[in-house]
Amino acid sequence: MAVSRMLKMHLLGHSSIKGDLKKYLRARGVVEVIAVESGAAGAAASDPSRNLEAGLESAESALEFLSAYETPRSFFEKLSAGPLETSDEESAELARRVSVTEFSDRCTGLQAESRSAMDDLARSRGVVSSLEPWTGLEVPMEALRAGDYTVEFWSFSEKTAADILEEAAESFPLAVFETVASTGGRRYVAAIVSDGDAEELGDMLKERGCSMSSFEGLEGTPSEIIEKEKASWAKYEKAVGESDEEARRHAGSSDDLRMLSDYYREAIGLEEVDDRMSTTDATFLMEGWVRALDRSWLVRELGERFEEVEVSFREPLEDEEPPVHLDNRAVTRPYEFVTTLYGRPVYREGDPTPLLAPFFVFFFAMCLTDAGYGLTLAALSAFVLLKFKPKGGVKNLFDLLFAGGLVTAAVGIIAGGVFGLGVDSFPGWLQPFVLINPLEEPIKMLNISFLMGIVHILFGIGVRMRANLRAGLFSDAFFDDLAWMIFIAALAPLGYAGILGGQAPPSVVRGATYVSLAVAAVILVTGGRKQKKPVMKFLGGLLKFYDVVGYFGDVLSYARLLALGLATSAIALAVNDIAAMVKGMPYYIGYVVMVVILIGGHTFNLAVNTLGAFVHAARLQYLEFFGKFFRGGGAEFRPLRSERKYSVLKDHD
Amino acid sequence: MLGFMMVILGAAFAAALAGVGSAVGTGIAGQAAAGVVSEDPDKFGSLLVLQALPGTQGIYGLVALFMIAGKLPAMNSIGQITFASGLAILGAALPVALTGLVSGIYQGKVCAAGCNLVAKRPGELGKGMVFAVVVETYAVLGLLGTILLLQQIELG
Repeated sequence: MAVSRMLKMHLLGHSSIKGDLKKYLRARGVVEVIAVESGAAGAAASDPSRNLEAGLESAESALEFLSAYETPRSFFEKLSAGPLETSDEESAELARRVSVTEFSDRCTGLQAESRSAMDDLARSRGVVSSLEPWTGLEVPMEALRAGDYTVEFWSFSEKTAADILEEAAESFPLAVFETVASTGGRRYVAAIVSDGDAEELGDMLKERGCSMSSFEGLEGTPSEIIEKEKASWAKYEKAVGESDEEARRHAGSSDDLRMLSDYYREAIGLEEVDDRMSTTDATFLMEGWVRALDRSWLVRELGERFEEVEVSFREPLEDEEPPVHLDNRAVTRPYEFVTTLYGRPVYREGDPTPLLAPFFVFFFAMCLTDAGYGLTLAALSAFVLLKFKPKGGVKNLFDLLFAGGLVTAAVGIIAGGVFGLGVDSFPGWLQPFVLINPLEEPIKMLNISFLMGIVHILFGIGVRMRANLRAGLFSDAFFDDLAWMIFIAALAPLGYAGILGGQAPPSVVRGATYVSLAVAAVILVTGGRKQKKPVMKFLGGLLKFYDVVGYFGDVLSYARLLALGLATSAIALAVNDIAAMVKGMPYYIGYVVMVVILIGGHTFNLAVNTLGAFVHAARLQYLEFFGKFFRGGGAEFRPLRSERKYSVLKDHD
Repeated sequence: MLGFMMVILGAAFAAALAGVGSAVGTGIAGQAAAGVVSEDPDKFGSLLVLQALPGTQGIYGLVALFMIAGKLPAMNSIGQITFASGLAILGAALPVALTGLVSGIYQGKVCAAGCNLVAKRPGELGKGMVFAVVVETYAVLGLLGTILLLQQIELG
């Protein structure tokens, strides 16, 4: 079955083997270490673990700085590059040889050097560009600051300059205005004004949109200053270049940094295990959860490798809540992705994964309903699976998309859609498989969707009934679950004929009417059985019929299968139509545009609708299906294992 | 020609209002997503999924537009569409138009909240998506309503 049986492990060992034992368990990845119950006081972070954390932090910050200097790799290089491989010994050796904190300090230093040189360069360029108009002024700047007068450097818009200058000359008869340059639509004027008038003149000119430059602290004539500043550019640029060069050189060892980052991360992980153990001077006690099926080989291997160790296992106690590990066969394992997205079952509850798998994949296919898209999706997923060999949840997702793609291809053929082309373009041998065209017969497709829904819901109630039977709740199983299953099944043909206007044989309708009336009587009598007062018993039975509304809503919800399927086909059709429209553009441009539209449009449609198909197929499981029987809320089984971010360990055995 | 105008108006309402709903919804979700990405660029992929969710309403609207356009008779006989049947098409377009408009906006808000959820608990993308999809149900039902109503109307 699907939720793995768990055992509680107690492991008592001699302190001398603690480090090796932790490494061994991490490599195997089958034990979730939990805090020892006796209440071992978690020691404060020890010095070694602080050092490790500093190492990790330094490696990460250096990596972040260097990431800008790494040789960029093209998309295809990234595709073809394998993962970074390392081994524990190699990383440990690297950690001994390289001081990652020093390295990181050097990176911080480089960053500061480069930034300060760039700031200097920017300041110098600013000075030059603001001084450039004033090169006509052949007086040293420091000479202009002497005495009771001020020299101000104003720039005027050429259009208004004459008027403003005239006005200024009238208001400040003692001031002298000397035009130094006139370029680029601006007039540059040096104003010599007495200290007393300076402020008033400034206010007046600013009000009229003129702007003043300040050259405080500069010495020499403008041309001299510019020359000097320009001469320094090379120096700044060289400094920036040098630090960039050094950073690029360091970026070459980014992979080492990644290994070190993983090395420290793992070492910290091992240190943290200590906090959960109870230790004496000579021994340590470790508690954890292990899957029952791992027990025998784990005991054997521990015995072979370590002498000073004592291990025992026991079943979980009633009040213990073991972590949950789902264990399904290869066919249904991908659908664990759907289940875990919602949550894990609690330990003593069944795993819904195998139950939802066939429904999920079929609903997914109905939401896409296009054989072309299905095959494309399957091919893309297969490519990812073969090329990147993902693990865990990601592998499950792509396995699931692969299976979903194949089923979509089958459903797409039945519903007559290949890239929105329609039945007519099918080869002759395939045409007999086309059973329905949802675009022309949406009502028929809608009925099929509702039928799917009824089956799904009945199945969900059936699962609940089985659980009730097992728990010995026979009255719930028969009066709530079984009665309602029959009731819904009997109402279905009535709804089909009565509400949807479908053609049902009169005998079926009559039979369904009798059955539903009979079951309704049962529900009326038994529905209020948990109420105490007789009146409430009757009312309770009556109120039960309100559930019909809930089930009706549930069934209606499956209409999304039709709607999403139609959306896919309609957009595919539209893409093809638009492509056909542009085909006629002159000089064969039309064909190019057509290909672009076809590829872009269908890719977009596939992406958006795959997302939609996934979420909506999942939603039907979570709300309509799980709502009938599943609670969930179990904790994930998290064995102690290697948690590497950048690199993988080489296989040595 | 009044009938024809009503048909076009219906198709335009379906695509435009539902499209506006999606535009606003993806806009709201996108802002929240960008905020989270500024702190943690690695979450881009999962947040993009959340941002894309309110985009379906616009597609539903477009589907309705195509279904309505598919009902139009040949160009030379569009004048024969009666005002009554044109108005009927306009009415049939309203479910997807209005549910698309409103659910798109609110789904966007739920997705924005989902972005915060993912920011704080990276493993809970699925739950954020489910909350959002519950809102979308009503756009799906709106599209369904439009499709069913369109089935009952014959033009020209």
